[in-house]
Amino acid sequence: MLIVSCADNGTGSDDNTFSGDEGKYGWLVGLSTNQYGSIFHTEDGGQTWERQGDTLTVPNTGFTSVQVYNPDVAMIAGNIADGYGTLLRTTDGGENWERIDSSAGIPAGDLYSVSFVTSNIIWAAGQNNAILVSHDGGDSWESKSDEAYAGLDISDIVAVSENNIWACGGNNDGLILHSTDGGTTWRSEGDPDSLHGHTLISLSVVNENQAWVVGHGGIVLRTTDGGDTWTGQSPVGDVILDVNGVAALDDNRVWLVMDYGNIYYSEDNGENWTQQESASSGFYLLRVCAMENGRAWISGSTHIPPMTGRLLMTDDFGDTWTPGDYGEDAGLWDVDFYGSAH
Amino acid sequence: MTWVGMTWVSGNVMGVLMSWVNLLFISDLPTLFKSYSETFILPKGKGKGTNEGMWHEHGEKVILDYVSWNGDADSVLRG
Repeated sequence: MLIVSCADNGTGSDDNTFSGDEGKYGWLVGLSTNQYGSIFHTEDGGQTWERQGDTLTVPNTGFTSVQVYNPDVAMIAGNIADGYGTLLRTTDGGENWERIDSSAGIPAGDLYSVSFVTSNIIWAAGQNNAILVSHDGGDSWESKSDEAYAGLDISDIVAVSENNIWACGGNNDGLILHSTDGGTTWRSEGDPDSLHGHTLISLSVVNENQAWVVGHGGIVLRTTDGGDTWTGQSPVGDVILDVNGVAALDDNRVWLVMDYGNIYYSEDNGENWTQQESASSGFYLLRVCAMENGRAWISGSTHIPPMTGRLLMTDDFGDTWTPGDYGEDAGLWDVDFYGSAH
Repeated sequence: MTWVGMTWVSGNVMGVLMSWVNLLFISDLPTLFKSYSETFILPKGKGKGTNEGMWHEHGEKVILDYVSWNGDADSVLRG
């Protein structure tokens, strides 16, 4: 079975043919240290990491999202710096990172998520209902926001194909948006009563029918009918803890990562959950990405200043999670590997 | 009556004096401690955090017993 990621959800572009490099090339991103945002790169599956960029090329802000399209092409979304949201791209494996200028259509707010359809078609989302698309590899961006949701933050966006896009967010009351016409129109999905009080944080999309969304207060929702219905599948119920990240490998296997070191794994599409040991109770575990061979990575951060990071790695589907050394201690907000589900 | 009155007057004076000393002590606190409030960014979806506390005059940060999280459900208590 071919595992697809948010970076390429199976659209099969020419420049993203799976090559055996899956799971080797990855990036970690997070808080700014030494006056520039943190970008760490590995070419050996996470055994060794190198920090990329410098104060001249990388803005002094926190990076919320990284998406790997192939070993050379990746994009980072981040908080506002110099008056506009941060989007960085590389086309040479991170040797050079280029910030997309505000004149390209970047809004004056934090950006929280980026998603590749092809190397040219890229979606981004963020603060204050920001939903953007580029059709030229990031050179220019067009707003696809629906004014009906003005003022609401969009935490995550996943483009399944050129036309099929999911986004989630909301400010206190959760919001699930779904477009099947390339962002021309958006449908608000989910039961408002179930979403009340639950800002949504992350999405994982298996295919055009099946997706997961997670967020504040332990909420975990799953659809298997293209978003017509969303059902609760939380392993913890309505609790104070936030579910920050989700990675669905396929129709059955899915990980959840939560506040205070909590990790849950299901092999039956969320009907039953197993809690996995992380030894990371002092950390918000924020994002998870995973491979079909059982390798997975988690990024996290302490929840009070000074915010230090946590990288967890497994090669046995989470039976054992091992802390990784990325050379510094910056808070880590996202991780993605080429070929991973994210 | 005079004795009682003197006692009452004396006690009252002492009370006023003690209040004045207390006021001196309280008014002196800002020279010993300076309150601070710092806002810091949190991961997406979690709003912003505010950390409030006191700086000791010698530079030691004394964090008061809470960190508040704007936009998040979990207010973290710290002792």
